[in-house]
Amino acid sequence: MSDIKRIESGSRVSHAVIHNGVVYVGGVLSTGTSVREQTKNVLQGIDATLQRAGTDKSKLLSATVWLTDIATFDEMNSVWDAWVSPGNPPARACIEAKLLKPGHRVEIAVIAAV
Amino acid sequence: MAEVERIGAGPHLSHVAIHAGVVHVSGVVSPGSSVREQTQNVLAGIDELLRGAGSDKARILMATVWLTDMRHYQEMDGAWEAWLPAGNAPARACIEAKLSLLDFSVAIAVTAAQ
Repeated sequence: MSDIKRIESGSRVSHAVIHNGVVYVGGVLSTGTSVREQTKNVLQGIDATLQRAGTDKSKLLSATVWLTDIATFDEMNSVWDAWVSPGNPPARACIEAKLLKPGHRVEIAVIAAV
Repeated sequence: MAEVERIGAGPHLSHVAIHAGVVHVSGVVSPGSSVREQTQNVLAGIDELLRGAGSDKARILMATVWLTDMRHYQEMDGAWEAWLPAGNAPARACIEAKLSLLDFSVAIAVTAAQ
């Protein structure tokens, strides 16, 4: 059995959990005045966590994107497309959902190879 | 590090990402005149993606089902059960959510062993 390594582990959640060459990054939220800005910040946060896990966005396997308003899909996507490693996008699902606080408009969780 | 293989990589997502013997499939939607028909078409699409990845529906580990209206649960579930090979049901979660493509009532994402 391979070990489990946790990154920024708190009493309730870890920012990321690594097992068997795969890192699971918990849903990342951000402040920001627009979906564009929040998406940019969220993706920067994911970059930082992936780096700490010893990997990067070119190794993404799967992503789940939650938007509080599905009408902002294109706005999120424009930032996402500019960010994603060309030729290396993950499998993805995008859904509308309520998020933690009223100001939050986008949340993204990812799984990546380490 | 195990390689990441991608199938159907576009600007936003890959239909499938494969790593370390695990197949990650994007959320799949499909047209159809009813939730039952949409579900059948989504599952046929998942069959095809899994086949392309060297896996099949008997090897699904986890599935997430999103319905735009939870009242359609039984209809989706009937098509799901008819599709699944007996004795090979994956872990599954089903949630009500708005989808990014407004014409669709059901989306399903799966993770499978190769």
